[in-house]
Amino acid sequence: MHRQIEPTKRVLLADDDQGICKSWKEVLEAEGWEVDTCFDGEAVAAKVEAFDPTVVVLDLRMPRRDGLDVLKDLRSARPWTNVVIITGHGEEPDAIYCLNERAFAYLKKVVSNQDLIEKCEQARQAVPETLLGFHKWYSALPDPDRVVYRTASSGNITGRQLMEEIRRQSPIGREFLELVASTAAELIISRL
Amino acid sequence: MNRGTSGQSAGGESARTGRPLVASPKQKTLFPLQATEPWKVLSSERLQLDKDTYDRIRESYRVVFNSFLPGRGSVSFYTQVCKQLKTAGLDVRWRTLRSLVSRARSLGIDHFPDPSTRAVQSSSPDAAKLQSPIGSVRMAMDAHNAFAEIYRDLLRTWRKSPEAGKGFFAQAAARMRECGYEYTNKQLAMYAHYRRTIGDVNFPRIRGSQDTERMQIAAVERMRALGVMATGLMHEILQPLQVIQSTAEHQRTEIERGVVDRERMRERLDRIVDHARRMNNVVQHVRTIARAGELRTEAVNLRSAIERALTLFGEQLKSRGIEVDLSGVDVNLAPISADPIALERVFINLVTNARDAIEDTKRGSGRISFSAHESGTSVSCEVADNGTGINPHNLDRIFNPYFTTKAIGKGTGMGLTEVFNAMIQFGGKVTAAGSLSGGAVFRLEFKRHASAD
Repeated sequence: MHRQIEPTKRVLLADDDQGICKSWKEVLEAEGWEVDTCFDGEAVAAKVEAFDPTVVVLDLRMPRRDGLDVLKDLRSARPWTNVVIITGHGEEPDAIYCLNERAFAYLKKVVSNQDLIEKCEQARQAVPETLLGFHKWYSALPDPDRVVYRTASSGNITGRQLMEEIRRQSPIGREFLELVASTAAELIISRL
Repeated sequence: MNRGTSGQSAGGESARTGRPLVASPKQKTLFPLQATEPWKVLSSERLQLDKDTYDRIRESYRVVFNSFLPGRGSVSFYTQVCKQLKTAGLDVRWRTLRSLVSRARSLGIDHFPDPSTRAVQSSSPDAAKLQSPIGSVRMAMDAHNAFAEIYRDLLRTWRKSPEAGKGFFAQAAARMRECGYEYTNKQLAMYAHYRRTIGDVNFPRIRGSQDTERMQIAAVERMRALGVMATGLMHEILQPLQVIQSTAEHQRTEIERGVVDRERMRERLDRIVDHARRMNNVVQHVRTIARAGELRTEAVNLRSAIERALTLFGEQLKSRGIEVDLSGVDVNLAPISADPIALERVFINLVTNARDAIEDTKRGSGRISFSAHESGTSVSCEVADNGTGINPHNLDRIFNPYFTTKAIGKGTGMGLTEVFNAMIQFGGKVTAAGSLSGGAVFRLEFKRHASAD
């Protein structure tokens, strides 16, 4: 039944250092990745929306907006986008915070190219296809506030609420993800 | 007599005689007449006393007591009293006087206080009136406390320099007046001196203590700057290091894969060299801060310092279409007081900022102009550019460590901090002005070098 949805090789590099972005871009492009860069913490969210990457490589020290904030928002808004933190600070509280916020990996600069490629590849593979499928389904919904699902226990649920449940990874959310995994295609078609 | 009576021996006098300074109540009952007619009790063969003589002795004693500076020894005190008595028409030998005084004290007659103990008594904070033995300066507790505070504050801020205009105590007097206490600077000086002689730590010597205190503050500031630096420093070194590592590694991978592109290779090598230089810059920043306390100011010609700084930029400015105008800085301007190397870095930082601000306008051209003029004991220099300017909102923060508006990892946020610190070290100051539209102006104020006056 598992239709393999191969997550695209698309990565956003968010680091305030242009030189780093440039050199990593070269490295990842040579591996067949589609790469965009971003030097400003505030601009990350918009860039992510526009570019729709499967992986974000994020520095914690960014101008205008802290990488920790960016991570938090990113994870809650797009749970299907994995975030690899690569930072020059390497302070323990930051690492704990990042992993609690479900960053995919936490690396300290200086990182070898091989590690960079490996982590990005792992992060891409680790994106649950069910989530990707759900995302596609959700973004195709004409009205997210309409009731889309009836559960046995808690009654009716709207598309937006479901999205929230999945973000929080609650039992209902997981149950629904399973459902999406098996019937994603049908759902998408029926809602369009 | 009451030889051997136990009692407080607070001063040299009593220690020598072994007699109490203050009578015990018991003694008072033994000699009930003392308060009204002490001369009757104190009269002896050598010195016949009546009320008039006794009063003259008391008066002379009081006069000398009030003007006597402690620490000279009690013998000379009694000699002085004898001299005073002679002018009052009484010829008394000091030995006779001494025995009179000590008998009076041992009888509990308090007309002849001990000059060496009096200072100690009045130095206790409970004393309602604080006074100096010169007699003319008396301070109530509140005035004393105000003065102590002003004194401490002035120790930090006052500098012995011609442009301070006023001496230490003149300034203290002015500030006391602001607090509502009228004292002349001479009175304050005397009072402070007196308090110091009796061991009051609130009034340390001005010269030595000021230097050590200032050095301590500078050392603490330096440590703090280094602490702030250390966290940022790691980031600033790792960042270029990451670039160097990635670029070099990637180049190696390409070579292994058989990809050879000379143009790209050259570009990458340039990048590596660039970032190695950047790391070096960071380390230089640290060095400047670490040796900040050792800045030595000397006479520096402003124009040649600016020119030296500009040589470092070489073609950099020209290639960006940035014009530098030095015509506002006269070669014959009075030399300023600064550390030449630190001053050079001040200008390097300012020009770097101006360059970046001009680049941000994306006009492809710009102008940095220097101007300077003397006024009195100071020389001011303005560095103006027509770049993106400074957001007025940020004006009060731009000198803070690690504050930067350069988005692209270009700035360490330390440049203007370094400028600020250096100017303070030179005894000058720096201010910034600018708007979002009209570029920025940095105004440096230097002291003229002293020998030039």
